[in-house]
Amino acid sequence: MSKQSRSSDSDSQRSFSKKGRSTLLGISKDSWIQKFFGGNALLAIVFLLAICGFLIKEAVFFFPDYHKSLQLFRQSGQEYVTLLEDQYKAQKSAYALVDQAYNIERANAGAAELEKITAFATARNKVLDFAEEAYDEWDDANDELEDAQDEFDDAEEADKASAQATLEAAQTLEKNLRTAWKADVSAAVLQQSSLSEDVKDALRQMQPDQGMSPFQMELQKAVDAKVAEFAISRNALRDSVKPLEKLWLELRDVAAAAKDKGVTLKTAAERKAAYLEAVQNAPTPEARQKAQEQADAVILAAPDWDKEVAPLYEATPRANEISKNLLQAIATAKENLPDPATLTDSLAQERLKQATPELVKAREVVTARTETLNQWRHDEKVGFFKSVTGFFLGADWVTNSSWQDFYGFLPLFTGSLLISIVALCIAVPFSVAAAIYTNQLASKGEATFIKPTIEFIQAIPSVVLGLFGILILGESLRDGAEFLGIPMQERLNVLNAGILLALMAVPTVFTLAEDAINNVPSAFRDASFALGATKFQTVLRVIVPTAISGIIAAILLGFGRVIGETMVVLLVAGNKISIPDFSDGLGVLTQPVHTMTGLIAQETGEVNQGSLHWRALFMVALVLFMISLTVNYISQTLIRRYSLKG
Amino acid sequence: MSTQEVISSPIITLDDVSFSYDMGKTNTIKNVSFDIPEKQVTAFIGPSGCGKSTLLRCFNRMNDLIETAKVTSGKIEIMGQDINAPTVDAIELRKQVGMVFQKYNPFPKSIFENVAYGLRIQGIKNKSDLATAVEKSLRGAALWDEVKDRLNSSALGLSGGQQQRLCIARTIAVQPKVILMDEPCSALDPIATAKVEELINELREQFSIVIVTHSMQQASRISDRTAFFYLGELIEYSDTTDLFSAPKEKRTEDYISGRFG
Ligand SMILES: Nc1ncnc2c1ncn2[C@@H]1O[C@H](COP(=O)(O)OP(=O)(O)O)[C@@H](O)[C@H]1O
Ligand SMILES: [Mg+2]
Repeated sequence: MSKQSRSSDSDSQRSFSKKGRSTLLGISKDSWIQKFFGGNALLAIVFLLAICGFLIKEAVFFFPDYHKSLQLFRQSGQEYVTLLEDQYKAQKSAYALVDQAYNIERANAGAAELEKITAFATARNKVLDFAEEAYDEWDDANDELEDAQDEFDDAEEADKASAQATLEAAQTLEKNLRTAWKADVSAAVLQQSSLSEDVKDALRQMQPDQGMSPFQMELQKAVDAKVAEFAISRNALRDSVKPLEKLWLELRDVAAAAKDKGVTLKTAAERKAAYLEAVQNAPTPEARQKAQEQADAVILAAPDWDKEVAPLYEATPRANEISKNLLQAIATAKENLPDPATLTDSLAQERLKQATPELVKAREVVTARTETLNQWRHDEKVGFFKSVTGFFLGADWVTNSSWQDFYGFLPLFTGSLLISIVALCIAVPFSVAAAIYTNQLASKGEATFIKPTIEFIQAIPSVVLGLFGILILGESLRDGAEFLGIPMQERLNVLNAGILLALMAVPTVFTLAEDAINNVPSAFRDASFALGATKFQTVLRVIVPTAISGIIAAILLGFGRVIGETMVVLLVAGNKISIPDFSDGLGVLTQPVHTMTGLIAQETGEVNQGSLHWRALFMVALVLFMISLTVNYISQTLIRRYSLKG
Repeated sequence: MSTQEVISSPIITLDDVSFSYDMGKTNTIKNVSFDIPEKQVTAFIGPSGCGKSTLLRCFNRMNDLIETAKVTSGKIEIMGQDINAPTVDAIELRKQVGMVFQKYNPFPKSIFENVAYGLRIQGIKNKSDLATAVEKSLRGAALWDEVKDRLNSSALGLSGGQQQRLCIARTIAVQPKVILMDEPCSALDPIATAKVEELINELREQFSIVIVTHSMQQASRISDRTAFFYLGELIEYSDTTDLFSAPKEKRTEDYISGRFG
């Protein structure tokens, strides 16, 4: 305060002397500099508002547009078709488990036979290779024999005798060469010493003009016989869904065609105007004629939805009948499928056990969808709120689909959140402990080593971390998981990304937490020591509780850091858009996910500006920005409150 | 050193004590020897920077926290034990030798938790034991009546004088034998100062108190004996009344008559 007034004093003195310093637009250099720095804060606010405004501008029409898209989805009957598709898929996923169980069981029960078949097939190939020359010769002779036979059949009465002679000669040759081939085969079989006698016999009995060996067929039959009963129920289940599949695909085409009309309608007026302009500007009468035709072809009227979707309503009784049969089939399958305990393979048992709840679920889905289907109306309005819930709670993010796009935010959000939480779970204990250690327990020498080292992590470009995650961490994690007996199908997953992001969060959390601890007045520490507390007690009971809001702020800022990180997650998270399966317990960490940031980075480049997809991406960006802003705001408030207290 | 009387029951004895902040290059305390009596108030006076606080912090080994600081010669015995012997645990020592600081520094916790802190770190968990001890200490620090209705509110909400008395309560809660006070009233207004002085007067019955003070009036009001330091040396040490009425040393006389410092 006093400084300022003093400087303005000297200002007025100088201007009084008129020889003053350089001024620009009547303002002195000092004030320019002052204005520049003061202006920076203002600039930051303007910038923030500009970003906000820009995001909102691009995102704001997402909900109305998405609403229209969902409305069309219903009007065109696509929604109806999806009700069939759901039933189909539910049944299919139950069947898939049964099928797996069946195949595993078949392979296990018939293992001996299947092994013999393989041995036979391998040996057969070798033997045939060996006897290839003889075979070629026989093959030629066989062709000749066929020709001779044809010639004999077609021969005139006069030529019959000579044709007969040729035929007989050809027959003899064929027979001899066949014998020669079989001799070669037998010789080859002798070399295959490791084979069992029955395989050897089967090989010797082969004929050059034989397809599958009866030996092999016998074995196949024996294998099938072992799972014959299972096969019946499995096949029944497989076939039961076929009528539904047929109906679904049939109506799918109807709805897709209707939707196309709805989609083209959106741009119809525009296109018509363009053609009419072409009519005006046409250089030749032919061109004018053509443009006029094109303009006339554009239909401006909305499609008659009632007519478009009539086939769907007509199909409803059929759909009901099919669903009824399907329910029947599922019930029968549950009864007729073998008891898992009777299976010989443990994995097959497991799959079959898993199939039971899936069948129950399929039955529920079929019942529920059929009920919805009967009440479904194409002309019922879709509530506007549906577009909002559809975005925030939607579980599917489907784009560029020839059927229907869905913009469900939930998988991205859960992906981002899960990775961030994993990252913080790893980073927080480490960085807070390191902050406490360097600030309170380490010697000066240690502190001057630890601090820059941790802060150096920040200098690693995130793309380098990403490559490290792909090439090294992924492999090591998989090896580690294998060692522990945890299945890890994907190298790129939540854990991998979480670890790398933890590495990126450590410097942020460490530095800020260290600041917070450093800001604890040393008087508290002294008081604690003077009361006979150990260093450890002092840290735990005085220093950390005093710094806690600062430490929480540090953690929140770390969270803001990781949830906004893009490159690492794009490279390492696996980029699979689906809500991770939490029923897997900790196994959820081994699943691939996609994130808000990764998705925006990946998809923005390839969408049309202003399209629904474009707006959806901006909506995601807007939500991300709001999350970051909130987290930052809370942590700043905490820091401010706590530094006032200190 | 000119004054060396024999004190019948010393609680602290210093024998040729020198102390350095820089590994012995320069001594901040120089060859100091004297005895501090039990259950009396001993005041350290002297110009600022002469080493009063430094010497005080030797008694509870608070200087251990400074890496390069050490006692370079001599021996400090408290209750007959050499406190710098390798077998002595500074933590245990500080439970016997409490300290009140120049700037009141209660923890940012509740009033109750502040007083209970020293007991909690000794592993006392029993609620009623803690409550009894807290009340006793607060009464001992003449604070009980003022805070008994808000034991669970933050200590930082108290006035400066109350905060300093809370710090005293916190110190006496662990039942030390000696209480060190480093200019405990320098941050307080005259009324609060009077209250703390009154309190010190009461505490002398139970505790041996060593107090550093900047104010000679305070020293003469509350202390039984006074030590005058100058540039790290003990210049004069005697009964407070003697020291102020008939100083033996020229420098003491100059100082108490306000000619320097
Ligand atoms: N932590 C320290 N490190 C180094 N020198 C110190 C430290 N504390 C005090 N000193 C020095 O020791 C001398 C005595 O200080 P101090 O004991 O605080 O004096 P007093 O309390 O009598 O005013 C002063 O010269 C001071 O600068
Ligand atoms: Mg001092």
